Amino acid sequence: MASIFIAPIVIVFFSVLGPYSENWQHLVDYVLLDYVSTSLYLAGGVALLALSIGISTAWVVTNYNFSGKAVFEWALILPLAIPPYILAYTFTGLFDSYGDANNLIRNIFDLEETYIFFPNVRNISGAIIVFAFTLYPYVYLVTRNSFLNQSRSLKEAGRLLGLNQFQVFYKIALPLARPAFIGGLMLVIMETLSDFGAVDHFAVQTFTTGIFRTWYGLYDLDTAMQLSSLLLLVIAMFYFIERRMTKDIKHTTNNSTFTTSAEVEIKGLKAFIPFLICFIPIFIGFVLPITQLIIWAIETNMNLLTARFLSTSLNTIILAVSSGIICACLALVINFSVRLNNSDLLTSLKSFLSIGYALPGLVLAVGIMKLFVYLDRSFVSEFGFVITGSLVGLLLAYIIKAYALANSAIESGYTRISTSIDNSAQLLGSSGWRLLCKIHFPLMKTSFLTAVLLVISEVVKELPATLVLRPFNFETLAVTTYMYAAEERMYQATGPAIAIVLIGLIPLIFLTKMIRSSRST
Amino acid sequence: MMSDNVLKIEGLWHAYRNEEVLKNIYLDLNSGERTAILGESGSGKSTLLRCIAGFERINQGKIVLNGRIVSDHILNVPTEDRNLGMVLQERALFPHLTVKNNIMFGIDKVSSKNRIVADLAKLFKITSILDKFPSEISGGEQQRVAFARSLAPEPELLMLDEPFSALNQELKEELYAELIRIFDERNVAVLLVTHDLTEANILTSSQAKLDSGELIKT
Repeated sequence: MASIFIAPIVIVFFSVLGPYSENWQHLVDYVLLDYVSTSLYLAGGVALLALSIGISTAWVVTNYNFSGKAVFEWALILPLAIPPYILAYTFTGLFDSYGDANNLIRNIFDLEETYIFFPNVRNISGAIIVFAFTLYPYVYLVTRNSFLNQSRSLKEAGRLLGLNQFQVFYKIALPLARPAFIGGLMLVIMETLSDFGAVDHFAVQTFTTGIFRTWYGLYDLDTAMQLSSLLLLVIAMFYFIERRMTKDIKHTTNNSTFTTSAEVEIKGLKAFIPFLICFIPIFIGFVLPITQLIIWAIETNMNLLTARFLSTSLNTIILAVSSGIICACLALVINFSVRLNNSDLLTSLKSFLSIGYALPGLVLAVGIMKLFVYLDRSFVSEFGFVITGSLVGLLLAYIIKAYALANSAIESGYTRISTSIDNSAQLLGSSGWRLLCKIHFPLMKTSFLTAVLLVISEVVKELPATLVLRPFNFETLAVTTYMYAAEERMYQATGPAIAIVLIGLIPLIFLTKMIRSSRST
Repeated sequence: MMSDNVLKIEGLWHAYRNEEVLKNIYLDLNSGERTAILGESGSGKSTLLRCIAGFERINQGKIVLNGRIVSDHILNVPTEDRNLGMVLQERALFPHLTVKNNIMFGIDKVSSKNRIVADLAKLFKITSILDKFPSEISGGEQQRVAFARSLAPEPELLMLDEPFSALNQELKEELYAELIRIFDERNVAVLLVTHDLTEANILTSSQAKLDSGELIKT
């Protein structure tokens, strides 16, 4: 099984060794430098903005008590439900020359039709804003957690040693939270570099748009794969930094007795500052796109349930639920085996299978396509392309990409089952499959369901891999949204986009529950 | 004439959520003097230290440090401007900094900081662990570092909030003797909060007991 997971990555990775075609030389001569510089500029801009938003909001909600704070604390993760490409579509709908926001300004101030108030968003600055405001929750979540786990006594020790409140923030709290927020930041960068939908909509030339064009424009899978291998190397670097930082979190946790931090009460006009710090990201990352989608839905007289919408929804549900169940079952069996056998090999396998989340969907798709073409030609050539272009490739991509989510839910479920339960069951004659089916699974139903739902929400949003690997004429919600948006048919894109956002909200319900309970314990 | 009074508390009242925690407290402490505040858990001992440090506001009365009013029912001078040292039971060492940088933390703008760290390290016998992180040293060593760090800015008042409760008896006794010598050498005023009468007798010359928020001289 591990070989199926590893093969697409290995194929892409080793394509860097060549041979190189003329198209590669063309890319090197004319566009590769642009892809690299634009991708780096985009990732850098997003990193700076997401970091500022994530850290400032986390600091404000953990250290100050102000009106609305209880809601902001969980509402700040809501933008995670909006995939960057949907925010990009709604942004252009709002801020294009004749978008709703510009129309509103012209109507309010009775201005000429040619007057444009909001600047053009279809550029790299617009892309930076879109990514930062949808991805900052990755930084917010881990940084908030880190700030919450910092003992009050550390900050008080800083005050006693002469630091004011701001100095306590940047000399003590921030360095202590560094491994956490850098880990979150790496996820932001990896997601930014992996995206295809938003950058394509804004016509920003990055690695992913380059891979897509090489494949679909030049019809050169091998060169697309070589381009993918470069992106894979960059992603791998960020992945290892993220892993390293996660390990370092232990090093910066306080080993002394823990005392929770006291919150500073802010009232009156001063409370407006933390209120704004929290409100603006939620407004831009969640309220604005939702409002635009609702406006479009109203303008189409809520006529969203078209035949195409229903068939793509059914396709999406079948694929997402199948991937969810397969991932959850795999995670359950692997974690069960690790628990029972406790072997280093199984533990390493479990960790290795979780790497998939870091892989860009497009890179994964390129690898799977190459693998399936090879398998078709080697074993089933007389039937033509049987595996290539089937749903198998799509399912495999989803499973590789989302396995880590299922694994984390199952792993966390297992930590709540004492090993003494296993011992008792074994003493009573239950071991192996019987132990798994009769004891563990009933105890882990909630974790299993969480795993399935997490995978579903990820699969529903996935665009680039679906776009490339889907069978001919097979559409999902993400693909339909993309295709309508590419043709600027935003009204038709509204139905599938709303469905994606609603499904994306499911895991956030679990997360908000966790956020609330982290305060009460 | 300059007074050598370091701490003066007059008629201090402090309430938390409408419950009176400290009632009409009077306390004087002169330079080089060492006093212990004894009392059961929840009697308000730590709250008294937190009021002196400026972490808690007081409702009535005043706190005077070195002749300057730092707290009354309106005024609350920020902690960092009070020139106090405090050692907590939980030590509160910064886990991301080495022992050396922990000690240097409060004196990073002082030109002679390296000499001060070297002197304190020698005094507390922690020279060999200066480059280690708090997670790499023992509990006893961590407590020594916490003392060294709090003394580095040369505070005139050092407050100790149950600083020995996490240590075993052997380590405590070793530290007691060293601390008395160091306190005497530096002529620092010490306010110790503890529930251990033996510890109070060894380390301090006078004691008072906090009982349901009221301070009773013993």
